[in-house]
Amino acid sequence: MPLLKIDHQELEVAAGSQVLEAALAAGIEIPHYCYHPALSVVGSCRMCIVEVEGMPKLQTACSTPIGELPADRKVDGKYDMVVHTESEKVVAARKLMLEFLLLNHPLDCPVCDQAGECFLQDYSFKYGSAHSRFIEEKRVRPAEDLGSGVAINHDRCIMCTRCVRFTREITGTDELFVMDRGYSNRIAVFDGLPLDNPLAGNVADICPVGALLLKDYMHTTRVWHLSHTESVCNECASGCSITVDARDNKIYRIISRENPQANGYFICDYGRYSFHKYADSPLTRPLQRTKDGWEMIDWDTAYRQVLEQVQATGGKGAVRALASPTFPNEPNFVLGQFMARLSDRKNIALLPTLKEDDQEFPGGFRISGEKGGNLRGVQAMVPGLAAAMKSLMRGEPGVLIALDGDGRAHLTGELKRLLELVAFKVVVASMPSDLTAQADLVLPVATPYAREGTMTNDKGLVQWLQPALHPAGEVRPDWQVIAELGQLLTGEGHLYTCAGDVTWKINQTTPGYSQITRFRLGRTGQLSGSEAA
Amino acid sequence: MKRYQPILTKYLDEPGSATIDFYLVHEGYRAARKAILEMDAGEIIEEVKASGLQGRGGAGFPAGVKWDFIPKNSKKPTYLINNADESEPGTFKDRLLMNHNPHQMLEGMIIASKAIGCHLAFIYIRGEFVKEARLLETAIAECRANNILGKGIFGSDYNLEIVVHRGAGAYICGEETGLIESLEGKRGWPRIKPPFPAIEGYLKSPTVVNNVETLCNLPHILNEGAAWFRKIGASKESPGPKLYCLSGGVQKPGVYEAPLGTLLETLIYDFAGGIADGRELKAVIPGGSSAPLLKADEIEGLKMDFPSVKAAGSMLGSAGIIVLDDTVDMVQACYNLARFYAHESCGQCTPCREGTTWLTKILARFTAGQGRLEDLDLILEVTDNIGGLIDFSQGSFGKTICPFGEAVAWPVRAFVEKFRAEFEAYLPREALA
Repeated sequence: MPLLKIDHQELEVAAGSQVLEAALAAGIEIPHYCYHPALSVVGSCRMCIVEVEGMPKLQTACSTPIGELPADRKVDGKYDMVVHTESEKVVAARKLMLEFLLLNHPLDCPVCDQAGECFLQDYSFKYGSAHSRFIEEKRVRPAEDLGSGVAINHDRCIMCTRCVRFTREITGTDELFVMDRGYSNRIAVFDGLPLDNPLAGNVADICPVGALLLKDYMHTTRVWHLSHTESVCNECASGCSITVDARDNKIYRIISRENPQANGYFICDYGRYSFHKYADSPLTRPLQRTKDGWEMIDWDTAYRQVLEQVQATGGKGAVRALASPTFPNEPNFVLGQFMARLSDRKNIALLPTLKEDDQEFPGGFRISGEKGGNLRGVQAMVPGLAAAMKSLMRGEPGVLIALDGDGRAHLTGELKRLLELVAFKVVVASMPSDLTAQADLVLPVATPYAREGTMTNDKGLVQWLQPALHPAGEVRPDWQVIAELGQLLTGEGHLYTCAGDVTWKINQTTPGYSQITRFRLGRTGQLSGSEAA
Repeated sequence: MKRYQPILTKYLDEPGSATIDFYLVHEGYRAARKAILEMDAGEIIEEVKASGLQGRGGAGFPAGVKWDFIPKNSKKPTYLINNADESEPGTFKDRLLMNHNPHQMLEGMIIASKAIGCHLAFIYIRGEFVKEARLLETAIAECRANNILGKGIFGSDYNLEIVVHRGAGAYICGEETGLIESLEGKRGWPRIKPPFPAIEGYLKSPTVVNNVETLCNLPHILNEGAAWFRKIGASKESPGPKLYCLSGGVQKPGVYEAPLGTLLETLIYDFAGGIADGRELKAVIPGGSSAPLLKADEIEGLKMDFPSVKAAGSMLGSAGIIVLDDTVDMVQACYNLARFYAHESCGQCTPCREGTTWLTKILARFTAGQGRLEDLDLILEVTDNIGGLIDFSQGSFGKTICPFGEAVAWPVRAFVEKFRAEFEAYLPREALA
């Protein structure tokens, strides 16, 4: 493998890799705009210029491949390439490149959403000059709506063309292109053909400056007021890594978080904007059905209700449950555990969720059609979990405990029959839904972005969900509600004090999860093993 | 001295010189027939290498060496592209060659195609050359009818098709990778190199891009031999016939054929009849608008070949000689030039997109009488930031993807450095105080 020297650091790199790739992998910063690891290299921003020994011209690090030199031509007898990123020439050139980029860039950072996470701002501060020599008039162009909730402020654009390459290479939809020439270059869409694809929001994420903006987020807050919570999207079984940005217990935006094992660099717009639906009137207190509608009750009353109903309708043996792929592993695990203790019969099945076709994109991104995001996890948590509810239809009418995380239950004919058959329906949910509408008792749990626990995506990757919000009202964590129900019905106490305790129990008892612990998951998760029975 | 007999433009003035009948009568396609039937690719490349033919598009790169970069035994097809996008201001030689003798160029293309193993060649012709494009289509049809193009040409098993592709009038599409992108139907944005076109060019296949005039030389090299070609001109390093385009303040502007190494003074005073209307020579742009201009006293004894002009601090380029007489306002001329380049910059990379327009804006302010003394140094620094520090002995140090950055930086810098007094004369009085 070629030996590369960047400044004072020696790196062994794969032959053919580019200087910038190698530097970034080793944690060496070389400023850049147009380079993006998921997109083709165009070398047009000229920001990543470095000095390579033996080459008279400054080179763009993004497009300088490192090859192996024959032994007699190695630099200093051992290096295949020697790169300087802080030499006098490079520092000067970089400064001037920033001067060029700022010539027509409006210094409107105080009203720009990107301020605080803007590479033009950061690099100018770090490498640029404090004043401009440009006294001519700046170019001013009106902002435009590109479609799919994305707007463009042309004045701030630095023509890195990441967005254009994104629609060409990742979505394959080709909506964006560069219009006009030279100084008049601008990112545009064709008349009547707006940006229209389910990954469109990513162009704002990958824009290194404040040119492409999400209208949903625009002018709502400043980025430095936001707390960034690393979590997982559970809108489908792809389980994309996300960062949830919230302030004062309100989510302002969700952005993609790089995870090569899961989503790569991007997320879809369904996931990106999903937080809105959970912000609107989530369940906050236990609800009991009365003659005239719903009555808010406290938790003790609710649990007493459950117990009374179980005793009145055929006892513990007649209790049935539906585990849910819209919940994390922990509540499903606890549910499976105590249901097994209540009866030898098969008394637990899978809550049906919507299943559509997968959406695949040319760049490799996939939106799973499986809308129960934690399907693979549930199946591992409850051994022998059946999708069919046949076994639940037998016996006398009893109590049904259904987990319906956030109103995504799919009311199939079979489920409807089951609901008619049972005597008393307890639904554990975060959002009102068709299923909670049919319940006799609703127990409120935290919404997806207020949850804690683990999720397993369809590739078996287990990731940790961090709560970005505090649950509202009297909402309790999902694992806790299920554990309390279990305590009530089995009469045995539980020892869980947090979601992590359940995760630990899962680690101890579940096949394939012996490597999964809260801390081993880290930021990008761990694959669950194949030791499952 | 024996009077030089034109080679490339020998039959220029004869009626019907553009037809295949005329060309065949005057020994046309003899060299192509020889190349196809009697020579193998390696022999052609060696012959052209031995002739010392340099590319006539501007860079002066040895043609045979360029062909040799094409990988042998590649599984991909090889393409030849004839760069007929002649868009350098001050250059109008290729148009003449296509207009009056298209078959000479087509014959050159057949020879080059054989040398690199190409079976589909393109002529990328400037969009404005409507008449020439039609003429070429006719000439190609004539060739097909005479078994000179198409399947099994000259009775051999060699197939060759030539396709005429009209550009849309962008200067940057004369740059070879910009041209290839344009030919592929994309925006004419030059590519980053490596890979070079010889490895990955048109449709990611090995590609050679040659200028019209370069190709026109090939039949003569094969007919008369490399040794003969080497002897033409003043220098053995840079031999051959050359078309010089004289324009600006001369008595008789036009295209003149003379050997490489002809004195610039001979071209201006002898061929073009001297400076028009009895005026004085002020400066000369020797190789198209992107070549730095030379002051009148710098051209004494200057031989017009690639190394000599380079040594004088400019470049032969396309040999578009623009003569500036003493009535030319250098500030306006420089502004005009900068405006052209700002308009033609493709806008892909930062220094060129932003820098060319910045220069233009400064110069516009200058011509409006609102210049500042410090602007002159600023102009020099901006040119350096686009085109890199200029040192001809060291090669180019441009910071841009393609040589366009240098093409604007060098001439603007030369204007300001060499005629600083004229720029200062434009300053408002208070700026000098």
